[in-house]
Amino acid sequence: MKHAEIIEDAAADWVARHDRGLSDVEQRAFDDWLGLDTRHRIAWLRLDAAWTRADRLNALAPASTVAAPRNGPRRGPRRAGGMHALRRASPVAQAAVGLAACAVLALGGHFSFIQIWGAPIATEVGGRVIEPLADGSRLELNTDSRVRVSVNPLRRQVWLDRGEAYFDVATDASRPFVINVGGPKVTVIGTRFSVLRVAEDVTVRVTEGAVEVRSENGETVVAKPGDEVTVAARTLTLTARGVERLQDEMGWRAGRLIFHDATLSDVAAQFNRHNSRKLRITDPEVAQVRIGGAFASSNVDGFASLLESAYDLRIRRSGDEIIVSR
Amino acid sequence: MWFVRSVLPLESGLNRFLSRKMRRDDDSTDLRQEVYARVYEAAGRNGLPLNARAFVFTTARNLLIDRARRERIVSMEYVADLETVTPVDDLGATERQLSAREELRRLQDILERLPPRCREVVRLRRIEQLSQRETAQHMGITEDTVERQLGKGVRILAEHFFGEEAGPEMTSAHRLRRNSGRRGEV
Repeated sequence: MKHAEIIEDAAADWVARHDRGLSDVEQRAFDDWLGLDTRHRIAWLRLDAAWTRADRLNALAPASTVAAPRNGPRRGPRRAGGMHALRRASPVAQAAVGLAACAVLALGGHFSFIQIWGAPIATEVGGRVIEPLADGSRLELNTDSRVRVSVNPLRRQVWLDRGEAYFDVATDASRPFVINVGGPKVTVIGTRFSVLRVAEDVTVRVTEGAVEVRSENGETVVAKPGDEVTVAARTLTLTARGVERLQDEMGWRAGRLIFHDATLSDVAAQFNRHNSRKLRITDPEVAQVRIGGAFASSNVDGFASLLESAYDLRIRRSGDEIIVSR
Repeated sequence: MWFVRSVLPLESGLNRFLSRKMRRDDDSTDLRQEVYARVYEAAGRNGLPLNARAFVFTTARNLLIDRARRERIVSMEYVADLETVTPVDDLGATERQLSAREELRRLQDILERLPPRCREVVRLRRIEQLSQRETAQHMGITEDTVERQLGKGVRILAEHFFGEEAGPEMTSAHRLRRNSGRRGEV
């Protein structure tokens, strides 16, 4: 079968699976598949859009229902439009349809398709994706990350569920751009910054503009270019690190990891985020060795070789691990 | 999102252009995917284009030129012909936005054109709002088959919904006449 056909078929399979609900394993497989190739993403977006559009057909449901098997589905008169979907769909989809119905009503019902609830975008380990948003903003996703995006004429919202994202937000004072990172919220008008989430710890790094970070207990701080804000255990901390250092932290956008005098254990942790083959450091003293430099994030083997040659360490490869010792 | 709202509605115009300009050996699905992928990535790198229509068209034209140039024997006439074409000529009049009712009518039309089992699955899922399990029970088929038919149905839905013109309501005869002129075979 031709390559293009295989992609269309795969995308169609995923639409069918989403239609019945994905298991966790399937969700991960889907995220991986999406992140592999832009062709996968556009094929998915197209078929998903067609299936969603077809939901309008529910307006045709007749007053009497289809004859049912033993434990039959619904009986009863037809109800208006999208309300049908509520009885069948999963809880998330129910909320989404409810929101969509409200938003369509609020906006006069002339839009044939509005995406109200967040569409997920995810990357696999080692993956990176650039996503243009409807308002002209741009979102870049780093390794092993997941966001949901909802940009519409009323609001601009993102949920960062996992990982790290860089935002280049188009200025629009009438629609503040809000990123929900678990409890904390990040609000901007138009700026460039990154947000990193590891479980419940959040780090915001600003390279341009002003970013308001609000913790769960309502404490807020406004970060300026060069500022790094961390939220840990509901505490906000602001550190002025300088724009250049923060841009180094965002080296991943160009596929690089940049370190200034970092410990080997920190460097290894960063490599391990981006690679499925993991560095393991067995000796606590070795873990404290200081490393500086710029490395290709996917070249963990090259880095290991460098540790051997330049730092005189021992490297042993075993399965998915690269073990570093004295 | 931008891609769904601003690019997909251009598909019928894109298909018209590609079917006229592509070579015999070209695969229209492959070309469409490649155009979309390039458009998507370019928007990600450089920001959203001001004029989606012109951008999609230019990307398609440049893709055809790229491919033609990589052939062993380059057809200079073919390339020159592509290079002289402009957006205004080839993507036709602006399609208007359909009203909710027109869109429903269109979907109904497309539903009628699905193969029987496919059509029944889509009907039960989308009109009767049965779950996939209930659909399988009702039709006496496995849930796997329901998924497969749904997948098949959504592909055909997309082909017609995005790939064909959203003109005024067409009668069957009218539709047949228009279809026969467009591509070698659907």
